Amino acid sequence: MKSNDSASPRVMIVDDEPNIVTAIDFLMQQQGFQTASAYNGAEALRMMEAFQPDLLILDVMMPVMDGYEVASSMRKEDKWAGTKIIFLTAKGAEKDKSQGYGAGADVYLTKPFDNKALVEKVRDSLDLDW
Amino acid sequence: MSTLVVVVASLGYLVLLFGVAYFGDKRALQGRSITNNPFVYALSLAVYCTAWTYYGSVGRATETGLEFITIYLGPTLMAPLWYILLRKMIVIAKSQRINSIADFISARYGKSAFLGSAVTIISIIGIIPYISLQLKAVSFSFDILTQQGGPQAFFEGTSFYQDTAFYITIILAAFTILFGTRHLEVAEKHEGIVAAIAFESIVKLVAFVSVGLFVCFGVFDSPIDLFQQADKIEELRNLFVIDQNHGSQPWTWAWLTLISMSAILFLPRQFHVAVIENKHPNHVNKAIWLFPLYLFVINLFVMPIALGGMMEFSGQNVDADTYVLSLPLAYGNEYLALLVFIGGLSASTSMVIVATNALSIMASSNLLVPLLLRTSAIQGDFVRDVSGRLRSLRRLIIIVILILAYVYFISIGQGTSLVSIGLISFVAVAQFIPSMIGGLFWKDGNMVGAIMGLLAGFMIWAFTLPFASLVQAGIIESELIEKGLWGIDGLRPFALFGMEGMDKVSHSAFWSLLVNAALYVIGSLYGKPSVIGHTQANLFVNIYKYTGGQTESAFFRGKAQFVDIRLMLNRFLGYEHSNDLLNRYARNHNLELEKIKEASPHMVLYAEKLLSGVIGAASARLLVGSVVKEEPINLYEVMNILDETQQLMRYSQELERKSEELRKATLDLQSANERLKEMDALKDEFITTVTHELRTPITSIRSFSNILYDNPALEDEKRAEFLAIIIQESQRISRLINQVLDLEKMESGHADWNLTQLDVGLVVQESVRRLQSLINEQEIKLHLDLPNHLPLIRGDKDRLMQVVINLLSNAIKFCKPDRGVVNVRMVYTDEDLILKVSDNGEGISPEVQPYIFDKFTQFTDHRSGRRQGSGLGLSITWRIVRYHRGSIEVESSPGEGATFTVTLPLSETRRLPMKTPSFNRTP
Amino acid sequence: MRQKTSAKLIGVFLLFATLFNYPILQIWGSEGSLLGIPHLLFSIFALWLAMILCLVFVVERRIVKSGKSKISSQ
Repeated sequence: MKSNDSASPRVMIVDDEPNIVTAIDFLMQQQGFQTASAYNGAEALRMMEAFQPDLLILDVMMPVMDGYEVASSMRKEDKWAGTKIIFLTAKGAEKDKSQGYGAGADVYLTKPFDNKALVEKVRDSLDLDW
Repeated sequence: MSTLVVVVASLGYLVLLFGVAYFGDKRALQGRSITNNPFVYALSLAVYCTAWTYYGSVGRATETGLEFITIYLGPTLMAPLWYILLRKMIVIAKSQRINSIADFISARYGKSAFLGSAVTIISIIGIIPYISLQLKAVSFSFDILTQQGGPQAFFEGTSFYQDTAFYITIILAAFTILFGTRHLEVAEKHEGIVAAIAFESIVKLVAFVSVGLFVCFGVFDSPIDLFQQADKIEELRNLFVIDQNHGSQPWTWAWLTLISMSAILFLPRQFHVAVIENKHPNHVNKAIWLFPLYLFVINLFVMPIALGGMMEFSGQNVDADTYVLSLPLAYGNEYLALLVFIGGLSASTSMVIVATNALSIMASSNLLVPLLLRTSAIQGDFVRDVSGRLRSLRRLIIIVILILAYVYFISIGQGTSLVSIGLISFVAVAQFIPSMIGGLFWKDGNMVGAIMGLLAGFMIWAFTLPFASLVQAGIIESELIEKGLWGIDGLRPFALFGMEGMDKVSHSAFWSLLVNAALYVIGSLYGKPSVIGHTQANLFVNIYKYTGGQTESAFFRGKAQFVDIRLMLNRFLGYEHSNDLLNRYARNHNLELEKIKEASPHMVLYAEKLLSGVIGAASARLLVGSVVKEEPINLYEVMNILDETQQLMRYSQELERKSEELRKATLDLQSANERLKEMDALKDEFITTVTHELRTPITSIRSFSNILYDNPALEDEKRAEFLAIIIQESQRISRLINQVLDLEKMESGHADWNLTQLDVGLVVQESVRRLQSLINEQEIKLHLDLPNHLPLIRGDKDRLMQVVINLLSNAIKFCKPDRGVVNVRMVYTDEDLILKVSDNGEGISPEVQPYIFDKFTQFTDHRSGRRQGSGLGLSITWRIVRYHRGSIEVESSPGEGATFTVTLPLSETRRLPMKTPSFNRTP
Repeated sequence: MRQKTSAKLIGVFLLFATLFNYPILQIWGSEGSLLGIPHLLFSIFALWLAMILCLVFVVERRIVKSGKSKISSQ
């Protein structure tokens, strides 16, 4: 397991919509989590090395590198094995969901989302690990 | 006259008639139809004039004066309305391959098999008295002519007299079978029968007019002499007076007119000749005046003959129904009498042939075939040729109907006059008025209403007319007439609910139609139609919008194995005929029959229509349903398809007008159909993308509203920031919706274009002015290079400004962040105006360039790696430019910025349409 | 064009439906005769013929007109 310097969990938000990032960021900080945000998949992978997130909230449709790609490339590396992935996307069809889980998602949520539900899922995912 | 002569003459006439029919069929096969013209059509409608008209009118006139004429005024009044009603019925029947009025009603109300059989039963029961009156007329005229018992002995009912009627029944049955059941595919029409009927219409007219002339000029000196002599007798004079004490009641007059208005369209045989056998809807136009003219002429001599007969036979016991024949005989004019007899024979035979034929089609399609299908006698492989079986079924039905008519005649028809027998049938048929008229014009009329109305109306009719007359004739012993049903005074058959003083016919018509119409409306308002009921209602009521044929397959999503379809058609249409039709279909659709495995929905539908020509809509549906896997389709989808298709229909109707371009039109229609399919696919994709694009701002709005709601204590700064985001995202939604609507309008050709002569330079300046604040904000250098005198072009100012603003704001958005430069340049040549907008940003990568004018191609901002805009702006721009007959191109290489070039032709724009043609394809 | 024809034909229908029914019918039903033919008989047949002529006029003129416009559009 990776070492956590700080007690509070680290959540990384990846979405190409700045307003949505702002909203989730606010929600996560309210929970006392540490946050970081990226606007596309490639950026996210770059930033993860430094930030070492416990959990990723990941959009699917993004330029440069989409969410599926991010998730599957993470799942190839052992060092991210303990990092949870929550997909948060406007794509709600069954086949999108199964593709998401196939890529390594732990939770699949559709937009528009309910704040409380999102927070709950995030907490659940993190709690289970502890 | 000797029996032999009359028999030979009659048989000779029937053979001649058969020759006419044979000739008509032969010409039809050669493709030189003799019935394909409005005159034959109008004459065939005159099958309305039966023995009732021929013998009965005179009889009626002796009792009630001119009241008989309502039976002909009704249809005359109806004739102008044919232009609306009948034409619509014809177009519907053709497009749905309807084969009888029962089929029509059943098809309208969701192809309901129950309704089809109800209408069939009502028709058969209703028409039997009518057929029996023809039998009666032929047999008494035969007896009088051969003087078996003579006119006076007419009522005595001797045994040989009955035999005459019986033999006549048999001969008529044989004749009808010979005529009607040779071909099976009803929708392909019986040209021979139509030819024969038109011929009979001429014969009966000539014969009747001859008697009229004989009475006016042979028996009397002139018509004036006749009227003068009649005027001396008070009883006769009063026939022409209408006041308090004389003439028919206003009620009676109006009701008789109304029920004969309905009879001319809804009697099964009238429906058959007017709708099913119609060759072209335009033939109706001439019939609108020709048919009333026919009625006018055939009625001209009714009164003179009636008066002549009353004076001639006054004091003798001669039935007034026989005057037409008795008068020439009384004056020893045997040849004229023979002609009259032949005329009467033609009036009767034409009615019997068409009516039994129409009823047999109805009964086999709506009663027997469904029954057979359910008992699966046909589905088994052992029955190989169903078409043969169907044909024998129809023959059987014809025989049964005629036997029933004969039984009716010998049991109650003898003592009553021809007209009163016929009126019973008219009231029965009038029961179709609410469901037919409602079905044609009221989309919400549905199956529940139709069934309730028809059944209730029919029961009231049955109780007040035929049942009551059975009682009156003493066949059923009962005190019903005086005391009412179950002794309830309000249920007396001739005075329902205590309504007295009306004659029987008006009374029955009034109550049955009142209840029928009321229940039809109530049932329709409270009953719920099925999806197919809804579709059919729309197709019937809005038929003119949908004619063109393509529509229906859109509703139908079934697929079937081709072998099943082929087998089914082989069985019902016969092997050769069905293979011919399938080959023709394959040729028209560029298919190879051998290679087809799965029949397309369109083909399945084609098969269903072919089948409904033979066995009716409801049965065909049942049958096809047994081999087809139909995918459910919901109402919403149906309505969507309808709306889209309307567009293409409008397009195709315009083409139709130019007949010389027919070939081209077919090709266009084919491609239009292709486009419809493409549009469908594109539309799906479009909707998915739009909903995705809508979700994004909605997500933000929802999330921030929740945050604001859950955190009342939020600091003001945050609160303001979040509210600003909500506002911004709401604006984004409305912008997106506007753009989608705009695009939809342009694509569908609904956009209105406001064309004026305009200076594009001014448009550019105005656009720059509007964006000035944005330009200042981003500190962008804008170079504007406009020539002094630009040629004017014709175009839509607002939309061209939209083009310039779109291009400019894109340039601003994507130019270099700090040292942004945007160039706008206009030049012109003899032919074109050229506008160039360029920026110094990252440029557009070559892979993306081909797609940038497609819907929802979004640019990625290289600075942030994020996408920008809705992806609709350039798509709209492209369409506006294309509308102005111009072109738009982009040049760009990465790192060098991008240049958009719009070229607008100067000359072309003068001929722009005010509505857009649709551009569905992006380059 | 078609709308107009429909309207005219409905007009013809309404006019004659009124003329051929009570109470107007009673006007024709008085005693006496015209040209040796009883009033009622004469009027009904005259009206009938008038109605047919109206129909000829409306329907056939429409055909003539549309025929003409076809030629001019070519």
